[in-house]
Amino acid sequence: MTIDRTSDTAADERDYPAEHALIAAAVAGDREAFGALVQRHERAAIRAALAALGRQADAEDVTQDAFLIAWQKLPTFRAEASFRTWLLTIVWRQALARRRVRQRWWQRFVTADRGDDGRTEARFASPGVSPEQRVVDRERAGAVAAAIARLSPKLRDTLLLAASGEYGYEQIGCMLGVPVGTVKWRVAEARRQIGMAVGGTRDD
Amino acid sequence: MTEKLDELIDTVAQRMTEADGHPDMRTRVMAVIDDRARLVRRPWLMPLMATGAAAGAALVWMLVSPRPLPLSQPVPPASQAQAPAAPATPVAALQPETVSSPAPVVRRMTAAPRATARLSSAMPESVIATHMSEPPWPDDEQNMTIPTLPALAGPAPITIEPIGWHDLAIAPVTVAAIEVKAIELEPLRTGAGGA
Repeated sequence: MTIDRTSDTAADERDYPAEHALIAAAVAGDREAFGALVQRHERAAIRAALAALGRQADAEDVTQDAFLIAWQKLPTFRAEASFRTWLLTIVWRQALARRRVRQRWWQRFVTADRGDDGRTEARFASPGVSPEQRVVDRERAGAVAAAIARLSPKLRDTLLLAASGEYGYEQIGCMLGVPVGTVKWRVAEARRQIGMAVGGTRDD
Repeated sequence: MTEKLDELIDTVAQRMTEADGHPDMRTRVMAVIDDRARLVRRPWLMPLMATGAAAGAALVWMLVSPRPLPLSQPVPPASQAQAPAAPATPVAALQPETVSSPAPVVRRMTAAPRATARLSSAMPESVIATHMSEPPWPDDEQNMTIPTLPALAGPAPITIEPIGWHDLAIAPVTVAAIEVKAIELEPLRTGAGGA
């Protein structure tokens, strides 16, 4: 799998005139224009929230809140970054706030899992391979998922955002408030730690 | 091998951020925005909401405020009423002999957020529901902690008129005896019209 981390940025630039018109209309009070912006970016927004929260219900709530904040603050949008980056930054802040609240109240009652509910392991299936190999692949995927869950939040967040394929490194840097170099280091370090956790294959 | 692991990591991580189904965020967000817009188009709702919020805040403040309740009766003799009032003292700081002193000086326990009342009859459920903010409530409703009932130190009997209980049609309560951290109350009388 090859993840093109520049495609979204390029797409942003390619669609800039149309998006700029939508933003201008939304600032003028056109709710349908804002609805089009929501539709355009909802997938990326939900994935960012999922990367931070791990539970879809929470991610959807946070995404909705973030879009409402964006609607209210749209007149203050200065286009210093793309609308997508600006929106994702709002989503990420909301998601982190939700995560802090959740940890504060529930950390005594729930295990420190990612809230993945095993769906990654269950959904990991390689079509066209033998059942035995599929079992091995599934077990290995489960080990990787568990290793990702054990990463520190900084490494895990960065890895999930990068691996989602929705965002470029610059966008991730804006969302997390760190330089691009830090994003790249975190991704590499996360991969190294996962490799060590699942059998030291990174050092092979 | 490393490339294969990287591929696996990417696949797993990607699926960890994949949403199940399409939540139709546009419909959700637009519905909330439309709701808010409808609210703005009905300006008469604003003062109602503001009034409601203010009333709610006032009610909460009234329930949690440790300020003393006004005395209704009996009125102390003039000579004694002119005696200098003792400073407000928390219930916990009271000494039994101070409380049982025959001097008819009424002191208000402004710093007492709680008082333990031993009632000679059960308190109406409406009062319990309003004032017992920390369940579980005691099985014996005649021995309970009333968070908003101020303690009064002085000679018994003293009748206090609980602020905020008027809406519940609760009659003023006559204090029959006062102990440290405890007030023995006469049976509550309920019903419109009060005492």
